[in-house]
Amino acid sequence: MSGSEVLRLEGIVKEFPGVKALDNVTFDLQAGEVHVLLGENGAGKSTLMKVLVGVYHPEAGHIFLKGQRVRMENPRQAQDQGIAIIYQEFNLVPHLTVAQNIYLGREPRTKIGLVDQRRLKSEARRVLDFLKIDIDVNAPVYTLGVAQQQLVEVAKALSLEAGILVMDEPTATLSEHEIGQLFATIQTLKAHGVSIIYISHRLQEIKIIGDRVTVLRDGRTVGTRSVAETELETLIQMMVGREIVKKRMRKSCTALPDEALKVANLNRGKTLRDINLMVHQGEIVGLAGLVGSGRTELARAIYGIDRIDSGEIYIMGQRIRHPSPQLCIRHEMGFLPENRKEDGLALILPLKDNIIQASLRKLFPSGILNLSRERDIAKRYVRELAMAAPEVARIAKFLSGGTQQKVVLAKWLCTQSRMLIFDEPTRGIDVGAKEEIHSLMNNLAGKGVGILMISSELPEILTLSDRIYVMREGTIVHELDAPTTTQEEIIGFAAGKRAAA
Amino acid sequence: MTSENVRVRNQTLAAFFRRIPGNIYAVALLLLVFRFASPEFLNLSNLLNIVQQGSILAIVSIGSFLAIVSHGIDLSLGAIVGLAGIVVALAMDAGLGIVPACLLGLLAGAVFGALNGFIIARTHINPFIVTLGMMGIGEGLALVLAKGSTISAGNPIFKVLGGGTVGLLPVAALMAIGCYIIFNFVLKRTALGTHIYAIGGNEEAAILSGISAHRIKLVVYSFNGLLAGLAGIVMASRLGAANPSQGIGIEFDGIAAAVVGGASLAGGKGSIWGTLGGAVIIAILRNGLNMAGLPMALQMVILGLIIVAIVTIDSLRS
Repeated sequence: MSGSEVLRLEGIVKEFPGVKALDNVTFDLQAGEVHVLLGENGAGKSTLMKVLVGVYHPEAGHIFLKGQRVRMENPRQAQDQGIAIIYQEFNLVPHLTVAQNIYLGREPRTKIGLVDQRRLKSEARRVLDFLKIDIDVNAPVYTLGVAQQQLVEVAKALSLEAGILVMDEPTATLSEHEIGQLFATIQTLKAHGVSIIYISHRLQEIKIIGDRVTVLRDGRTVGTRSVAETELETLIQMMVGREIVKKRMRKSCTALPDEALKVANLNRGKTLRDINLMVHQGEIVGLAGLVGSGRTELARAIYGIDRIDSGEIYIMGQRIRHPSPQLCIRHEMGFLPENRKEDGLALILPLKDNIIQASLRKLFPSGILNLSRERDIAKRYVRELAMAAPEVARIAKFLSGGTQQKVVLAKWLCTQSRMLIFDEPTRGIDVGAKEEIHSLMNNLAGKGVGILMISSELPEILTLSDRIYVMREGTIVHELDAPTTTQEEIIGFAAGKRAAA
Repeated sequence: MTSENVRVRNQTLAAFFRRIPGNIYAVALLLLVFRFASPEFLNLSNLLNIVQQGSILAIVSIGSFLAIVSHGIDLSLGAIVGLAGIVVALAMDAGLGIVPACLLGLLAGAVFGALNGFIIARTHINPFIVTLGMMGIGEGLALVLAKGSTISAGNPIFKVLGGGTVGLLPVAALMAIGCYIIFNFVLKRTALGTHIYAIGGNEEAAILSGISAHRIKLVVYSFNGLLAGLAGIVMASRLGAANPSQGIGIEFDGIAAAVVGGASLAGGKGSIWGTLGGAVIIAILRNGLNMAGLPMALQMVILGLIIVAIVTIDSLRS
C-alpha cells in the first residue's frame, strides 16, 4: 500500500431536516489501499459515500482528488472522474448479457454505427480474464448468482478505468466460498493500483482485507487506524463509544410462565436457518443483529407474509400450521412493520379507519359498520395513548412519526392482541415520542402482552428487553440476559467476533 | 458406445424441442382443431384472409411489444390506426397522389406517437394513463376529420397494399415481414435496441450508465406511431375505405400478442419473433372461432380463456 494520496474528504457536513448526518467528517484514501469504513447502522457511512459520488451535496467541506479540489454534482461526473460505486442493490439489467451489462451505454461500434458484437464480447472477456473471473460473457445476468452478479459489477467498474472503487457491504449476501473469490478479486485490483473504500461492519473481514480503517459514529469521525496494529476490541469500543449509563426501563421481569410465541426449527431458503425462540407472556424480548442478518425476514416469516420451508410456530401454545396474517390476527398476534408509511398504515385514510382496520370483523360481525361506535373506539385510543391528534378524522399522512406509530399500535390493541412483534419501533421518531412509545410497550408487557422487538439501536434493546437474541447470517447465534450484558458483547456476537455458543 | 450415441442424440432432440417456442405447438394445435370444426377453414381463400388480417395485427403488435419491453404500454395504437386511415383517405380525396398521401398518413402516426413519447418522458406520468388519454384524443380527432362518416378509398392501385398478392403471398404480409426483419435488426444489432431492453429491465441502472431514458422513450413511442400509421393505411386499403373507428380494440390484441409471445409486462424481456407468433395465434383464433360459427359472445369468452391459458402454461414452463 502506502502510495500517494488519491482522495481526501475534509470537514464534510451534511444535514437533513432535524438531523446532522455528517458532522465535520475527514477521510483520506491512498493509492492501492483498501480503506475500511466502519460504523454502526446510521453512523453515516452511506451518506458519506453519497456525498463522494455527488448524490448528496454537502453543506460544508471539500473533496480533493489527487490534491485537486473538485465539486461532485452528480454520479455521472464522479464516474467520469474515475470513481465507481457498487451499491448493495445492484445496478444490472437482468435480461441483458454479462457483456452487454459491462459495456451498457458505452457499446463498441462498427464503422456504420452498429454494435460491434465481436469486440463487445472480446473486451468483456478481457476484463473478466484480467480479474480472473470465470463467467460466460453471453450469459444473461438473471441466470447468475448474487456473487457472480457482484463480480460483474466489479468488472463494469474496472472497465470504466475507475481508480477508486467504493463497495457498500459487498459480503452481506455472500457465502464463505464466494467471499473468498471476492477477496481474491480485490487483491488483483489492489495490485494494479486501484484504491478501494470498503464499507462493512463484519469485524473479521477487516483483518483479512483491510489496510486501514476509519470508524464513524453518529456522523463524526472517531479515528483512523492501521488494521494490523489495532485490536478488534479497540474497534468495537470506537464504534460503540463510551458506555452511556442508561437506566433500565424494565424494573423487573413481570413475565408469566406461559408462552406467548414459540418458534421451533424454522427454516426459509438461505435467509433463515434453524431458528428457535420463545417469548413469554408479559416479556419483552429483543432481537439484535446487523442489517441483513435476517431479523425482518424472521418477523415476516413468523407472521406468515413469507412462506417457510419447515419449522413450527405456536401462538399462545397453539400450533399455527400454515401461518398467514389473517390466522395470526385470529390468534391475537400483531405485527408493527419497520416502514410504517408503506406497510403499517393506510396513509390517505383517516386515523379512525386505521385504528379499526384489523378489527372490523371482531367489532362488526354483521359486516355493517356502526360509524358512531367506530368514532368512539378511535377516540378512546387517542385518549389512552395520548396521541397528538386534533380529531379522529385526521388523515394519517398528516400525523407526526410518533403519532403514526401510536396509531399502528392502537390498531393492534384494538384487536386485543396478546402478542406483538415490533420491527424498529422508534425509527424516525423524535426523542420525546420515543420515550412515550417505550413506556407504552412497558405497560403492555405489564398487562401480560408478549413482545418481540427488533431494533438496531442497542440502547433501546438494552433498556427495554428482558432477554436478547442476537442474529447473524440468518440464524440466532446467542441468547443474552439483558440486565447483565453490554453493547460490546452484543456487537461482538452480531459481527461474528465471538464464536456462536 | 451406441447406447451412448443414442443418449446424446436423445438429449439434443429434447433440447431442440425445448428451444421451439410453445407458440408453434399452439399454432399447430389450433389449425388442427379448426380444421375439424369447419371444413372451409383450410381453404386457400380463408387462409389468405387470415394472413391479411393477421398482417395488420402483426404490424401493430411490434408497437405493443416495443412499449412493453421498455416497461411501458401503448393503448393509443388503435386510435392511431383509425386516424392514419382517415388522413390517407382524406388526402387522396383532396387529390394527393398515393405516395404523398401514404407518407402523410405515416407522418400523422409518427407525430402522434412522438407526442405520447414526449409526455411520457417529460412528465413521468404512467404510460398507461398517457396513452389512454391519447387514445381518446386520437379517436375524437379521427371522428372530427371524417365528420363522423366512412371515407371511401377505392383507388385500385391503393387497394394493392392491403388486398393484393405477389404470387401466393399477400402484399400486406410482405410488409409485415419486412417490419419484423427491420425491427429485429434494430433490437438485436443496434445500441438503441440494447438500450430499449435496458430501460425496461432496470431504468435506474440504464440512467447511471449514461443512457438517456427520455430519448429512448421518445424514439419507442414514435416508432409505435409510425407502425400504427402503417397498419392504418393497410387496413383502409384492404377495406377500400377508412372508418374513424377501424382500429378500436386492436391495441389490446397487440398487447395479448406480445404477452402470448413471451414478453413480460415488467419490462426488459421478450422477443420480437415471439410477438409475431402471438399475433399469428390471435389472428387464427379470431378467424377460426368465427368460421366455426360460434356466436360472437362465446367467441370472446373462448378467446379470453385461451390467451390466459397460453400465458399460464408459458409461465409454468419457465
